[in-house]
Amino acid sequence: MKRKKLFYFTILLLLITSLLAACGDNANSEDATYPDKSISMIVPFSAGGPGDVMTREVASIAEEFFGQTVVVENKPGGSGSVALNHTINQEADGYTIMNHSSTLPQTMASGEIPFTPDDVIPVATMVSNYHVLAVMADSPFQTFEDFVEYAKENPGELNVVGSNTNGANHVFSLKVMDGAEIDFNYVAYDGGGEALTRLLGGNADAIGASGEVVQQQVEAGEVRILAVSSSERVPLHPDIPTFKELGLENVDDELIWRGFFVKPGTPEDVIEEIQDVLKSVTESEEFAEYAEKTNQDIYFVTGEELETILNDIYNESKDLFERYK
Amino acid sequence: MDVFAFDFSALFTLQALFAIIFGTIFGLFIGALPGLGATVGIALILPVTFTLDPLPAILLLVAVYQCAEYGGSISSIVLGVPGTPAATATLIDGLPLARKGSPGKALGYSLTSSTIGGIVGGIILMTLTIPLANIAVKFGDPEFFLIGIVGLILVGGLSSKDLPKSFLSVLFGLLLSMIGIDTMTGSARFTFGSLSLLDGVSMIAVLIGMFAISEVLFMLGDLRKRYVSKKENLKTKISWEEFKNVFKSIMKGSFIGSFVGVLPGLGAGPASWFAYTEVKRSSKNPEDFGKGEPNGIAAPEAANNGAVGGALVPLLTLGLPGSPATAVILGAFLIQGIQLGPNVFKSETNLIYGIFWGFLIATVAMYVIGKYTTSLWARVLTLQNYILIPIILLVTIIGVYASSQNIFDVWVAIAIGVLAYILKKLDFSLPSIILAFILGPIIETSFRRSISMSGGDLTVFFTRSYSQIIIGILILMLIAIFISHRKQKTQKVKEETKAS
Repeated sequence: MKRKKLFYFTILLLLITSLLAACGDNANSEDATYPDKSISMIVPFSAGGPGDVMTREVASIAEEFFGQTVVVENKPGGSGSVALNHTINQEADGYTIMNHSSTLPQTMASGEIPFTPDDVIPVATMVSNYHVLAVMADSPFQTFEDFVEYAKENPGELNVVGSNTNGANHVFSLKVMDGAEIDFNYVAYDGGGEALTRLLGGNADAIGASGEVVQQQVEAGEVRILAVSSSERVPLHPDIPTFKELGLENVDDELIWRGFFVKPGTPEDVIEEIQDVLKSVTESEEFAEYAEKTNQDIYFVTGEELETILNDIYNESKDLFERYK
Repeated sequence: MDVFAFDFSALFTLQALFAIIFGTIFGLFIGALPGLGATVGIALILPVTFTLDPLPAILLLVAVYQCAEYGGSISSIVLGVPGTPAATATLIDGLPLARKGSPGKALGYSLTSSTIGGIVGGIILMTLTIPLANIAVKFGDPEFFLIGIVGLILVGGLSSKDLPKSFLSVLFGLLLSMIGIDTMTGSARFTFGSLSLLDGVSMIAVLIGMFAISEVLFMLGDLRKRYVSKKENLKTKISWEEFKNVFKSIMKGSFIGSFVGVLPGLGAGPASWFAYTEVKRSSKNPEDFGKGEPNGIAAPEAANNGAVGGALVPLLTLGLPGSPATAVILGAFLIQGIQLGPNVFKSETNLIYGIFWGFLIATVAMYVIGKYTTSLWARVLTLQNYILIPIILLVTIIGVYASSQNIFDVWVAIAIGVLAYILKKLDFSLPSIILAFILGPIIETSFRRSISMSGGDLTVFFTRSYSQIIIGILILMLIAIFISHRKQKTQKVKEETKAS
């Protein structure tokens, strides 16, 4: 019995020392080079969503390049503002990296969350997807022109479903209305799947969503895409025109992208280090496989170019939301 | 299609069986921890599936889903801490039965009903997938609005000991559900500038606050009380007689669960509540409900596991996830390189049939493993209140925090707990508040979307064929409630005249 106690005591002592040793590792991180401790990636959505899946994929590949563990934390809530608030309350040292998408500047523009693009530094985008305007295969609208013609004759009558208010689908729909000078009714659902259900059930006239949402139904011949939002035709659907070709100059590369952000004030060299790692991630085979399986395109943009994109989305969305209030 | 022509050797591989058993144990464990439900469980185990073959990968997730739905009722029954809306329906009769000294029986009713519910859901999944999916997809916003209204009337009519109070409870629940960003316009409502309230009041914080924390406040009255003194009462089992007694409720719950589960956006929570209220409504002795009536455990438990099979219907046939949990499973299919959609039945026949059969095996595994592990949880009730209360409070706070990692939600739970204590003392109906809170967003958004789509025309609720069927059911229910009220009244009058 006594021996057993001694055994447990030794184990306990060993555990405590190893714990203390682990603490010591972080104590003098000031003068070391980035990264010398584990990095957290903050996901503003709950576990299992597309943003979460991507971040976990990135984290597992990036660990190798960083040479440090990357921990993924979900901080859902407040349309992303809980995660954003958390991120800007940490040190500006590059150890807290937030995931978000092109929806972030849009929610900022809507005034839904009390932040502006000045509250974040965009580090890099990783993947993107184009938007589509699609109808059921048995719809009378064979082309986008048919759709526009009907909408012009019956303003406000067509119901176009999409995911969320003040998000990417909403802005896309507003831009289509703006560019084609038509008026239809955008009805928001909680997610692309729910919106698609309404289209399939014959309860809506069209859907404005990202390409991945309708892809399976298009392959099955149930749904027809009228136009895509990328600047060039997409390899998957070479016969389908872009909005730009159809004369909607404002819907040019209207993409949904996912990327990473850090707190303003983060040192330049740290941001560059993160960019390098993320670049290596996008070039890895595993990531290419992930993008292909989830029907997304790899889309790596950084620096000033990305900042311009971010600010453009913000200003453009702000203008649209005000005009279509 | 022929489900029986399936080559079973694909299912009886080491990897597949291991996936089912591991998923079962993991699901039971995650489900039993309040705050972590099926969705979190599936998301946590998702990385494990990357290295598996498609069939074991999906079976692992399906087993976790099935068992987490069942496991949620364990903490509900034993500790009075509900982790999901579905488990809250179980709590209403499960907790009193356990506290009366029979936690084993309460867990036994729950396990047996869950298993049968799971099997019925599985059989419906196997046989009716395609026709059911075709009906479910036709349900539009007007129908969802009407279903929500049916739910509210059911619960309002049920807890009508005091009609004005039950009406006020429903209104309070609806009010709670309005907090947060309005999904139609994107403007914030009743958030008072708080970022944490933008997404609304956390469902788990409300459930746990309303039932667990308020209950703890009641328990403070008797610190030396011990609920279970006989050890044999801990065993998870019910007798054949007891089983026969609840069989009808199990079948009712199973079918309600399977069909409500098919409808995207409704799922296990509303299904359990619908089953509970229906069984209470049709019961000969509705006054026993809430005091440990076995039928009140059997119906919602069968329903929440029936809903698992139901929820897989639109996922497997159309690639449409109707719930957060199935959305994660959809992600797993994508990672396996399988695109779910209308073509999947043709292109991946073996995989789909493998999932069907594996689903049934997982349900049976849940029964066997559940039978031998759940009694461990019941042991907690042999403790005296002064030890039990801190344990419950700790589990409560960890549960709420774990669900969102936001300390704000813990405060919400505590505030709601105190409020619920007062409301309970004043005889308001907590189930009415909860059901209104769950159904509120469904009713509101589907009403506004219907109106938006019809251009303001209210007849949209009466002209569609599915709407008319639901309105028919609604009228029948109102008549049934009215008749039973009349009966009770005349009975009371008779008894009174006899007594005098």
